[in-house]
Amino acid sequence: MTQVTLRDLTKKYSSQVKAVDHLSLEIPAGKITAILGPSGCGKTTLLKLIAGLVPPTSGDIFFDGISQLDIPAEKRGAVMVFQNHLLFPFLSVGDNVAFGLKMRGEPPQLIREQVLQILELVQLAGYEKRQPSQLSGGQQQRAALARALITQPRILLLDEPLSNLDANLREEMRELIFNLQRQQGITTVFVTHDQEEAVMLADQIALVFEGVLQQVGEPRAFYERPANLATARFFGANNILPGFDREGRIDTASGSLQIEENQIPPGPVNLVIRPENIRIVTEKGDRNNIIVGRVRSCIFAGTRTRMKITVEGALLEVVTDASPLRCYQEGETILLFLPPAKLWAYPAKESSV
Amino acid sequence: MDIRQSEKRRRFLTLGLVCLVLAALLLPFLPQVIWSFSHRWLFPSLLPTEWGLRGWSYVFSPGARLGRAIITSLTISATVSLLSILVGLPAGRALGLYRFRGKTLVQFLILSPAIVPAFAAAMGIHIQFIRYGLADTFFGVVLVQLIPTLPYVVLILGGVFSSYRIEVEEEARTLGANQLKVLWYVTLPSILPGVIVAGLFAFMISWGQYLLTLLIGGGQVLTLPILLLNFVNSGDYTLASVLSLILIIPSGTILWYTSRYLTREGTALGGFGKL
Repeated sequence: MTQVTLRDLTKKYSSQVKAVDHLSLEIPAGKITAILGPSGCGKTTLLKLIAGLVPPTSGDIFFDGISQLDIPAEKRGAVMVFQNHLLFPFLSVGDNVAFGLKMRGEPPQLIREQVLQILELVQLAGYEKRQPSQLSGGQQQRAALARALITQPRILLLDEPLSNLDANLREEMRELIFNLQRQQGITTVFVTHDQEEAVMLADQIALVFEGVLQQVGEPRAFYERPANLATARFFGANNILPGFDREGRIDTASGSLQIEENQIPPGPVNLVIRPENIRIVTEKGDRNNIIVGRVRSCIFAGTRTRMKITVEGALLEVVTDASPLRCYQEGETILLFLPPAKLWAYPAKESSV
Repeated sequence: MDIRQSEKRRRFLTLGLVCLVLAALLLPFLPQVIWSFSHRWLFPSLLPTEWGLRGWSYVFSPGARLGRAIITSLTISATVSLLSILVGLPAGRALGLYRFRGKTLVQFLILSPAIVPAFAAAMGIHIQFIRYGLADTFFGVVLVQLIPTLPYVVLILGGVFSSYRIEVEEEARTLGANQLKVLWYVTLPSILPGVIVAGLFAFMISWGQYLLTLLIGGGQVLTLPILLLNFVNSGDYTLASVLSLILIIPSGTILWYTSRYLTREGTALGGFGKL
């Protein structure tokens, strides 16, 4: 099991374009780490840097504390599985899977045994004579995974492993990757633009915007305490109330609100809350953080109800369980409770992505 | 019943078209076949008045130098194709895979020999070749024949590489193949059909060269077309016909055996000319 350390890693393709920008990251041994971010933000470049396919402009890469900068891609043992064009089209499935062992010069008998074994593992037993073009997309993906796993890599790098698959195949593939990883304990890094995918598969998520690391942590952390406004919004916390921080209380157009933890200096702030953290209440009582809104729309979405509510200075989205709730009429007045613990404040001058 | 009839008519039409194309391709060679077996054929008779094997027997006699000419032609064309591929592979790769400043200019320059008659350039080259002792030599002829072959080879290989995914190579690298192994086990098998087609083009273009060979070879390098033109010039149509029939044998055979590469979809010619 190999631990990967990225230290102050930068990759510039030209003087303006930075694919990776001063990025430092610990990738724990034997765990799954997701590199999450919108398309075209240098995630694939990050994988290629780890694999040794492109040299960094500056910074260093360590495997178990040993710098890899002078080690060529073929000797790093970091196998990359690309998003598409997965298999060599001129080789049979079996020869594709055997490729890594053949490059290593293993005896043919051993290669044959291992190929059959690993094909069984990815549920492709009996397919070794087929051509890649005869396989479905999901089968090709599994064969590509087998081709990587057979070499027993120190690090497995997966570029958007699920995004080319249909919804039902995606789930199957996700389980397969998860089970194989747990079985073999290979340090795995995968790139995705889908936060749901990252949350469900990864032990650790690294969120990257335009080559800059935003936040690293367990999936839960991104819902419980996003590091900045951009991160909060990427994970669906899209309710933003502009306000002004006055030592503990925050004045907004909808009234004065309290928040639980406040580490930012006084000044203009943006308050953010997730749609499912807003509670609808019937009477104000003597509680703080109750604001008045007007229902703009109310959509029954099966198990949940999605509402859009206009409050003074903002449009809020609220998601609640559907069962106890009748659907509100458009224009109806409604009371909303914003729990202080779930209300996050970020400095207003922070750029939003 | 109706469907059957229209099906029948369609098959009949297809067959007719195929026959028409074959006729258009093969009929021009008929007079040559007749000429090659004629002994006496004077105006205004429609067919030779006397038939004979004079042409064929002369051509295969040692004095005709046919064997030597065939060997020279084969070696020159093979060398030209090989060199064209060697030069064309990196050029095609650069043009097909990468974007760089001045790419359009480079593309134009590479294509220019196909636009400007090679003969015009060859006059100037001839003078240089005399200076460097390349005139009248085998290697000089090979070099000058690269002028007409390279544009086509670079264009074909550029097309091949424009639909080539470099990720395949990167994937192989991470699986433990060094750059040499990647070239041998991944790059070459991927582009092989395109390389074969490009090589064929080069071979056929070189095989039919007359003017360039004559100019640079100065009559010392005797290829089949040179031998053929000698007979045409001397007015011996029987011999010229025999030779021209021999001249088309390799192109015909090559075409026959490799037609699958030329017509296979999405491989070599799929990206032809698209850079």
